[in-house]
Amino acid sequence: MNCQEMKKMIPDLLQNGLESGQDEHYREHLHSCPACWQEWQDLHETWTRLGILPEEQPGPELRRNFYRQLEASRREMAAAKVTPWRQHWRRLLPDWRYAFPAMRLAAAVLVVVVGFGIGFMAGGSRENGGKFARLNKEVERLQQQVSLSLLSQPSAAARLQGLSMTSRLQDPDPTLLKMLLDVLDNDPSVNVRLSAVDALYLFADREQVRAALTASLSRQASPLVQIALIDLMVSFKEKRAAAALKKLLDDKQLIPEVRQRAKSGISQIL
Amino acid sequence: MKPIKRIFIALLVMGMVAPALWSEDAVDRVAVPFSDPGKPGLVKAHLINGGIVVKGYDGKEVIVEAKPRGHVVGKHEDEMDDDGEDEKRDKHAGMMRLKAGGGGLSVEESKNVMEISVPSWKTDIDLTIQVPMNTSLELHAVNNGGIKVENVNGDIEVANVNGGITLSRISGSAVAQTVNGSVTATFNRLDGKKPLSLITLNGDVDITLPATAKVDFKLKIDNHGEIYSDFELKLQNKSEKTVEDKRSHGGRYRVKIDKTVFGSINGGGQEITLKTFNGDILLRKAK
Amino acid sequence: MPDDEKVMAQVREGRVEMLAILFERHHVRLFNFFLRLTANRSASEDLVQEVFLRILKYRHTYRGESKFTTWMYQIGRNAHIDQLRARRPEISIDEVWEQEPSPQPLPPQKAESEQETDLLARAMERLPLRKREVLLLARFQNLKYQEIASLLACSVESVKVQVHRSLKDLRRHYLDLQGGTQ
Repeated sequence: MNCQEMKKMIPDLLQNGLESGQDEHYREHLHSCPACWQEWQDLHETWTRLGILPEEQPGPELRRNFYRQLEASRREMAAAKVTPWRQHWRRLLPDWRYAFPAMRLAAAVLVVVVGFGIGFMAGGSRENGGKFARLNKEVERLQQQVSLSLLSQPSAAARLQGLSMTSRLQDPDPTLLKMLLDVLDNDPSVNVRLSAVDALYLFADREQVRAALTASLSRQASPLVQIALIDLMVSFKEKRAAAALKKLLDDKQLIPEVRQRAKSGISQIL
Repeated sequence: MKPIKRIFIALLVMGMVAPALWSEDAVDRVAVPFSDPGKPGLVKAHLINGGIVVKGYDGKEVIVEAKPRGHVVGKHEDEMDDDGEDEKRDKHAGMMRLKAGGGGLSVEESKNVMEISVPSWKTDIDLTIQVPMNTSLELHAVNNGGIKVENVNGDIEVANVNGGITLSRISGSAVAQTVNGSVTATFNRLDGKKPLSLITLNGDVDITLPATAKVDFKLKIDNHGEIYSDFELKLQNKSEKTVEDKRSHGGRYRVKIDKTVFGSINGGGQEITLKTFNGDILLRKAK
Repeated sequence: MPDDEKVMAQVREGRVEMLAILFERHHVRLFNFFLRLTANRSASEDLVQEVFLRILKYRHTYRGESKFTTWMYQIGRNAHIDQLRARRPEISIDEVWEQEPSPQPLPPQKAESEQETDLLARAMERLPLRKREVLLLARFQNLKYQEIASLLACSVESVKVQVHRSLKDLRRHYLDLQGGTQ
């Protein structure tokens, strides 16, 4: 391989990585020709450096305008031949069980985003109320799936995202509630556990959730989570909660802030 | 699959040589590359006693320095002492003393995840880590030191117990929590996607954002805390408690309430949760 | 997840609401393409808007043979050229396309970390549009040289030569700017 041929090869190596070259000649050449090596190094450095250019987000108007446009165009179309929405979604999601988890997540996120978009459009057209109610239900089901997948991600930020998504749900199913309680008890990140307290607060009208939250108090070691749970239980105003707080006070390790909080909590409940 | 790279640096091999190695400028330093330097890596570091400083730099390797803090006390024979006596002597001398024979900075790398650990239960060790800027971080510390992160674009997870957290010039997601100490974060920009969460029990939460940042805040203060903001915070009163707004001196917008506040700036967008039980929340506009 | 081409085929059949999927998949990247090309946020937002409007309008002309993104960037290029024409009707488009932009004065010193992205963005702006575009397509838009070739209606070899030269020029501008600030 000569320098001219090497030059032609550089763009391929940039896009596909140094290991990608099918033949080994270029490697020999690169290592034996200081000029080409330098050129490769320089260009590769610049190519890589381009990666620091941040991906910018367009303003919210863009999405809004797009959906407005889309809705207008949809109305223009003959209203007659409308396939039920449910079938659209089904077509979109061929088979959840066999998809790779990441793909599944990506697909679900996408559908939810689209769902929101369409929900947004629906705001303007009341006549389609029934259809959109069905659509909303479908979106809610998908949101639950997305939340579940996010909650099992290794990144704490992703899990927080999963928790914040649950706050939009009207009616979480038992699997999701169980997952939320599991996060509250076992998540390695205090930030995530605290966020789980907030998420569960929204569903505290359910007896099962209140019982689980109360039971969780004794399992928490972080003073931050302890305080958040104490505050929550005070708002329940239940005898059971007062008993759990009293039990907490037996813990010798309790830091003064938490102890004080629990004491004042008990007096507020009784 | 590549075999696990394991680099184990025995800082202290034998008691006999320990004092020399642990002299004040005895910094142990090791540089480890990620197995796939083309992709962002993850660095995890755990420390019981001491501080962690992580800096992003324009390079490909992770450079770790472990530096024991303070002076070495005791003479040759002290190294043979057992733990109990060490502790007594520590109190007596008022200085940290190093336990010989147990130390070692360990760096393990596998599939672009690097785990750094120092058995720092007997002495304070400060870790300084330089990472490629796109690296993600998971840092844990407990006593006697803060955690500082500077110039890193990856996702950052930090937990401390007795010490503050300072994140500066970052732009990825940040999830940080401590019990005793303030949390300070300065963002170059927000990625607009992942939620951020900064929480402490005793201390301020102080965040600096670009003037144009689009954020939905969830703020919680307690006791005598206050919220100060350079930004025009648009409050949504989601909580049922009453919200009391006070415009105050100095051009800053002050809000004092006793429950969670939901507020947005620049029309809202990324979710940021800030909480402190004993302290203030400060929202600053980058200059 | 159905691929772009299948979704677009459905849009062509009249299920226009499916375009939302393609919008969500591609609009951010397309926006960044225009942003780096024009260095103008609002112009870039307009262009993304325009591209999806045109996709909607010309959906009947989509042929399944080519990749959706290639087609989308084709439309994007045209929209960009039309915008340039509308702004500077007095000179020919080829001229605009090849012109070396006049160097802008450096802005006041910024924070260190912003400086690097800033310098890079400025170095990019110093490239003539033609070079900037090919580099953006190759580096950020996940397009293979083959696809770029069909987009630019030239040979694959020529695309590679252009990428090579543009990158070299970019490096030169970057180093110049870097020298200028120190």
